[in-house]
Amino acid sequence: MNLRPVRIVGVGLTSFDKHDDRSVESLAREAVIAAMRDGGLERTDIQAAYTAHLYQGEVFGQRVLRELAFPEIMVINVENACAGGSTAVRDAWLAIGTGQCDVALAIGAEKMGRGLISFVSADVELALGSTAPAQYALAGNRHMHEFGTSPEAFARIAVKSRAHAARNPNARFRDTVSLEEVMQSRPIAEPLTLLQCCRNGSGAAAVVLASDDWVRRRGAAGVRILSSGLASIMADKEPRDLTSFGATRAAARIAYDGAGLGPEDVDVIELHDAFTVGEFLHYEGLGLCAKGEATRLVMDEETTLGGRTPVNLSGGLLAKSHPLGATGVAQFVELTWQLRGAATGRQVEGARIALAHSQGGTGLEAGATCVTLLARD
Amino acid sequence: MSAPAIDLVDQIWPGLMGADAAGAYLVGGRCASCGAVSLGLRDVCARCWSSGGMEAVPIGRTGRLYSATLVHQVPEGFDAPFLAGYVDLPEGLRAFAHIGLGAARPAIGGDVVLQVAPIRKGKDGRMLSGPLYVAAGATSSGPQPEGDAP
Repeated sequence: MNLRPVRIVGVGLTSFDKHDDRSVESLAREAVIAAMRDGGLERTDIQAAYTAHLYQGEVFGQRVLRELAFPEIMVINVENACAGGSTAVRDAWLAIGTGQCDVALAIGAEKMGRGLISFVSADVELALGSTAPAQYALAGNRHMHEFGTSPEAFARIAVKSRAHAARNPNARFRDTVSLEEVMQSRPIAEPLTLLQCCRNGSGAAAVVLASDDWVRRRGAAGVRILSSGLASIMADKEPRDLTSFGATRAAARIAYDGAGLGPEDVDVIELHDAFTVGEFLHYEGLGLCAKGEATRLVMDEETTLGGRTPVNLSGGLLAKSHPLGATGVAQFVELTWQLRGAATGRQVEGARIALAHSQGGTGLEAGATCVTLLARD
Repeated sequence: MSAPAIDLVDQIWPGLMGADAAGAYLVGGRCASCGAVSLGLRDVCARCWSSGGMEAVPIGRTGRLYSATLVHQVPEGFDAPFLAGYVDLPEGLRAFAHIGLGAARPAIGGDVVLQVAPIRKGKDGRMLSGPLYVAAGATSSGPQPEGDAP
């Protein structure tokens, strides 16, 4: 597919927290205004807005933007479970890349309650008591069975996330935790303990994307989106290998092929660590190591700041919490800062290529996974 | 060993299970057009897309445990903890189900046998039944959370 080059020219992020006293529209507007000011944009520059959320009701994007007096623009509301934010960025990239518009917003926002997510669609597994952490735990236990993986290998990822978050003023949970604290926190679905599960959170993120032509005309700058893959595995109830996320592998292959790059070229990653087991398995799915070998990456701290491919320097979902629609967009905010060299305290020195990965759904595979590659000039 | 009492009236999911002289089974749907078997009766066959109807066939009387997790934070209506897992069925399908604990707990990769057991409370407080796979050869007929060992 021949697409014209597209850049991210402005990013904005709210804090992720309970935000009991604020509406989701208010949070989203704060992120939009921050992204617009970051990029030095006028509202007349914006031609389209892609707005991701799960549970915020009808025409959410329009409800956010009408109070900011945007002129006539195209608004598209995007739902792709927890991958919705990344899907919105990807759709904005495609719209600009194919010439439908020059400048577009991608917005993600969510106002969350407490406890386990209550999925609204009828599903026999949910009726039988399946939960999101249970799904990841099932994958983790199978990995342990096949490869002799230890529960500590999963738990160490939570230690790393908090260590990164301690360096990120935008993270929500910035206290470091020890391996013992992680392992001994309340069990949720074994082997997952409380500190290995992301918390619910409310918040918003926004990015402004523009065509390379538009950026040059304005004398502006921005990081480039190189490629993006979006995949779902739709086989219903076939016995699948749950230690291997097929959708992650498929989306990654599309993204790597589209950019002519491989996992060895990636300098920094934000990936979907709703649960430590997920991050662990995504190392393998993204090709950072061979199948069954993610333990080595964890033990050698290859995904820690200073390692070969640092992952989730923002603290990830584990330390930021997870406002579903906002999560994927927030990854692009962090990676833009990393590629600008502006991620103070947690900067990967000389980062040139970044990868964003997000995964959503009520089960492990029949949802959506998005992988996007970014580059600085 | 006496046959377990099988309550098929208050099922968690309508049409999920059945029982005959040989014991409990999951209800499979065999496509009248192509013969493919699915978990449950579907309005359309996933393989051939025929909507020409499905015949109910018993499946999943036995299986092999693919993976399991002891769930401590449970949705409303469930007692904590419970063991849940995926069971690979001889019919080539994989089913999510509750798994026996204590002496009835199978190892991952182990052979399991289907029972019907009370699984959760419904909205009116009545217990609803669902599939419980126990280790083949185990005599237990229900979950035993207190006897669980990792």
